[in-house]
Amino acid sequence: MNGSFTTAAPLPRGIALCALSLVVLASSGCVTVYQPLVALQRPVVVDPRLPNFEHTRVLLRCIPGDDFPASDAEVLCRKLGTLFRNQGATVESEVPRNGRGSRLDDAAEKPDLVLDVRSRRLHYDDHPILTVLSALTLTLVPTIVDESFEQAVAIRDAGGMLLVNDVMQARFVRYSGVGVWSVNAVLDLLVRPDEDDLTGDTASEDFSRDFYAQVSQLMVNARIRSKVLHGFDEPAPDVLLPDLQLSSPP
Amino acid sequence: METFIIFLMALPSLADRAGDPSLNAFRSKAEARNMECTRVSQAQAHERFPGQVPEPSPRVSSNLMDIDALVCTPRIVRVGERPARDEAILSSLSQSVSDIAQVAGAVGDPDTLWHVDAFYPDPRVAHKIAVAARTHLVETGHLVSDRVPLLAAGDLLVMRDLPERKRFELACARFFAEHALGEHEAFLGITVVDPRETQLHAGVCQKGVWQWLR
Repeated sequence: MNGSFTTAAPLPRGIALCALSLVVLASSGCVTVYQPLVALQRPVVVDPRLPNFEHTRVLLRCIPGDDFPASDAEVLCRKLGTLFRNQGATVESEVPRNGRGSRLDDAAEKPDLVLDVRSRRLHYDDHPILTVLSALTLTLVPTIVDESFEQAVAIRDAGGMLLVNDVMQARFVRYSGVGVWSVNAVLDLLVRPDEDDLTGDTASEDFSRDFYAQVSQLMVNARIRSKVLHGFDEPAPDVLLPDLQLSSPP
Repeated sequence: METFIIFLMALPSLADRAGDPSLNAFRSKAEARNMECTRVSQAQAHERFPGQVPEPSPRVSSNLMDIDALVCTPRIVRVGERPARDEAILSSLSQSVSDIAQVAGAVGDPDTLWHVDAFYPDPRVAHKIAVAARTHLVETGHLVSDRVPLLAAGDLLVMRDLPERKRFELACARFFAEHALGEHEAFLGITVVDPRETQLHAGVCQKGVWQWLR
């Protein structure tokens, strides 16, 4: 009895170690599905590769919140800054924190546009029973985490007039497990067209493409609205106008 | 055996996922983008879909359990069927004309007779915008004319060479000078001023003076 006990003991320990390694390996095999919920799938006209914001000073304010830590806000502001600099804008950015004044108050030269971005989590669901089942099946059954986020964008002129106010919502469903990753990797390789791939970093890339395109569009809309409301005071050499038809046919 | 029991317990979660209208391993991303989805509370979802969403239990506080529903509807016009700018403008037309009519209504007197026209590169879209704005003004109790003030060909020729901001001002002055608009009449013009934008601007012409509203 003792002998069988001593010889049997290393085997379960080995299996446990193997299983643990497999779980760790499999948990890194995630498939994240991104779904635009509100506004992110809206058509965009502006081409972010063109100099849409020449001679425009922009102040970006990425405002941290409960679900939006200051470190994430700084990363977002840095990326948005690059986005608008690439389109010709002069960009300043800040992450307002408690007790710190805004650059808007003490800036010598007021920005033409001030963009505020806020983010918050709308929904989180992690299916604890599936997590247990996933562990018991060595992740053949995936764990599922379903999250939805909201990004609120407000653009004002230097005087504080609200030019554009919009809310975007995105959903991310993250499946973790060796089974779901393997199946999707095979589907990506053999069945799905490249644009429909799910493995890798496609969810993040798809969301970034949608989000930055929408923010660029909102910024163009805000800039033009500002021009109109200020009576076209700014020089507008790049404004292309459709020919007026003083009575539109039915 | 325990695994089987836990598997049975997990079935409702898996069944929920199978019924998810928006996500599917075999649905393309383009198809998912043609759904319009929004998260609502379970109570709101029950009001809208009483047969599909059960009433929230009064014993469960929403603070303790974050239960909500994802409501998805397929888009009537699929992404890519219309030019991007037309789609962006038409899909938010109701909200846009509502905002415009609200501001315009505050500018005129209660007895002002409104003439409405829209200027857009595609005449079919222009017509839709104008009809939507007229309808909204009527619904909010304003007097609206079907007639659109017209200018003489000579005026149009002169205006063709003017920058946009001057065109509306001059057209407005000419409307009044030519008696195309009377003392108690106003013209609401809705337009886009830049091919890169996806929003509508509006201005009002009253007594020969043009004023941009948004």
